[in-house]
Amino acid sequence: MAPSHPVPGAPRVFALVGNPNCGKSTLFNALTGLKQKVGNYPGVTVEKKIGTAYSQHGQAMTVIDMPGAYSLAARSPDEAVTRDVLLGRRSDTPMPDRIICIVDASNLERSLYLVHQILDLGRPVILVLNMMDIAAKSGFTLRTARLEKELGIPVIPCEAVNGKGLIDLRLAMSRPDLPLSRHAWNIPAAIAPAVAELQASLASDEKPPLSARAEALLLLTDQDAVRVSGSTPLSERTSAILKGWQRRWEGEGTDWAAILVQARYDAIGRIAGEVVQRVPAGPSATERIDMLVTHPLWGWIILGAVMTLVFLGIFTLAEYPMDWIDHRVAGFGGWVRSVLPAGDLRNLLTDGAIAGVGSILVFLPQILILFFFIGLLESTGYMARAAFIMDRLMSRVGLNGRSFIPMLSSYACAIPGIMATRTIEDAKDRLVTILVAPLMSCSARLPVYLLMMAALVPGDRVPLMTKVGLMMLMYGLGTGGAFGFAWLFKRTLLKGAPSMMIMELPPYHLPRLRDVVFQMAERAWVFVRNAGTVILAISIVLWFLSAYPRSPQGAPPQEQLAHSFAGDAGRAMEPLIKPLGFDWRVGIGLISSFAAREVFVSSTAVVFSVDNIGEGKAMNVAPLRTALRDARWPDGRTLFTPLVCLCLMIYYVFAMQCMSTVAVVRRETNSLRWPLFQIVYMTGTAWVVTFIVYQAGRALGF
Amino acid sequence: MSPTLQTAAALAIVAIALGGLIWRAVASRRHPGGGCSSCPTDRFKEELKKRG
Repeated sequence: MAPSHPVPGAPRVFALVGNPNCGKSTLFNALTGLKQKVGNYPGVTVEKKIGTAYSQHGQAMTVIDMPGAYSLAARSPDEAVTRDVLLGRRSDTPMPDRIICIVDASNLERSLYLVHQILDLGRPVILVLNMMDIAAKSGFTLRTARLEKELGIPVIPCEAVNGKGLIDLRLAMSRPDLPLSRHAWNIPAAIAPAVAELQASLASDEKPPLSARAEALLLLTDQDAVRVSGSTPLSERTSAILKGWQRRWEGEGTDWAAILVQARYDAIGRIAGEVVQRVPAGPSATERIDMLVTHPLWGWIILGAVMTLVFLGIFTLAEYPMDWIDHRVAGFGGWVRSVLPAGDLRNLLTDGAIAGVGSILVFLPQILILFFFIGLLESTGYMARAAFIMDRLMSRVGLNGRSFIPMLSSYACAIPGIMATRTIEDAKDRLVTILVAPLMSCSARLPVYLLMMAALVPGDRVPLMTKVGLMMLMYGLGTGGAFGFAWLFKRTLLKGAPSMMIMELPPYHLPRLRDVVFQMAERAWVFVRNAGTVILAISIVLWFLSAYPRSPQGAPPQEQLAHSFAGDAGRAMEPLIKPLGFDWRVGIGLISSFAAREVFVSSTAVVFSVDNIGEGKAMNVAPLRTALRDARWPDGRTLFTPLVCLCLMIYYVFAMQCMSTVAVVRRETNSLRWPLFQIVYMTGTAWVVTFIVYQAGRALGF
Repeated sequence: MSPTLQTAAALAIVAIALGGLIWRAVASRRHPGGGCSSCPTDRFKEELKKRG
């Protein structure tokens, strides 16, 4: 076969393709310099990512990071996107000139299935054998030169995580004359005529001959079962040929897909037999640890212990940095109050901007510690085990453990969690997961829980184990709610049989602290930037809505607030929330939370700061928790009783209060119906549960 | 700074803040995500836009 040459002047486009968990994201980062999350479970790189690498001569090369796929015979939207890009079916993405296949060297035979399909495409391929260190520790020896000879393509041993092999890879990518594969395999005689006819039809649709052959083989394997938006459909002629052969084989009782797959595995087995040598070894360290970590009893105990440690860490380690931030913010507010004369500008700055932003910045240490622990658990490989353990529970509600991965991501933020559902093959399972994922207590709820806990107990300090217990209760409620609704939806709205899960447990790694710390710094920057922009803007607007229209001169501040725009909105919704123990000031916070949940803290800070002006309480910016404890109903009763604080936390566990999540659900489900249904069922549940807890609590004398 | 000037300055800041929120809401219709302080989605999209 003649080597292919790139068109002079046009940047080469490389597709980076591989199974999930083979280190594809790490390699992409290393080639392009774009930092991404490195996870050990499927669904991390759901989106297509495009970066620029540079050849040894400094020429730019475009690299497209494809979603992880086990096969081009797509079984999920993720794999369908990878297939469509490689086949040139997507008009929004250029068909790659060259393909980099990255495989886990310690699982070569399984990984070669995808490579084998890609070789059929007739484009230059570079094979990267990643995780060579792990392969060596597992007792594998790979005859790289022999593999190069068998496949006829460059084979690059690599350890992407350590940077080894990257120079050889860049050199290979820089070659103007990358050879096409010489590997040939025998298509079974029963299938060959169908392949030829489909290939001819696809070639007349202006597909290159080799690509047409590869696509014909794929159509016969996956019957074009999974199609995603943006994919060019088959021509009517090709569809008719495919259906004709399918009817014929069904009549003869021929399982053509199985015949093709087996023929491919036979070819792969022969290659692997000549290339892979393994020295028999006892159970690896990973296997020994997994005997405990995935044990039906000990697995759960370890998971509970890990979560307890995470929450303990959040509360103990964050105390001093939180106090430091608190004092700095209060000091800054006091200074502004001392230098500016009394007036609207001073009030806007101290009671709007500083109160609003400061009240959310104080939670930065806890958010960081949460992400540090999440990153640490991902980096070690433990998260995949958590998903494995959860699969036992998931299957009882009609889902499988693959749904837990997006739900686990939703503990940080529901948005990437919902996007991660693209890896779920079954459409109903995917929709159910999207509907329940926001019930997992995301990190935006954390400031609300923490504020309520601080206001919960009279006196200066809430006992540590009380805090940890309450936090775990909230997380448990959200998780339990998610499971409960998943069970309900799978038996009513979205009935379907539970789908099977096959999941890879990657080997344990020592955590890469550099990646974990980098991820933490990224989150810190996003948090601070959002606080300084979105939350600052919302706090300023909310201050205006709380301060205008002006009451007559001399009116007490409470009257000013009550008759402001915000007060009017809060009082309009008070009849709805009074049965839950909330007043109109809490109502203002609930309304503003729809922008982002943690805005509740900022808006409460603004509302109660405005409320306290003129009573001699706010010469400095009053700590918010003190302001909450002092808040009263008109009849003098305490507003934020322990019961009300608990009810507010419960409300936030269940309510759908994030516009961004609603927008992403709309995009992922391609409908308005499902996000609206989600708002109704979640907020309705929040109201009902909170109502029951509050009324029962009052009846019991709390 | 007179009270009138303070009020004018405050209202100007409010108008800028409101304008920024509206602009962000319109922009996010094309690229949803990123309202909450923990979401990385905005950053990825910005990086991809920069790299073309």
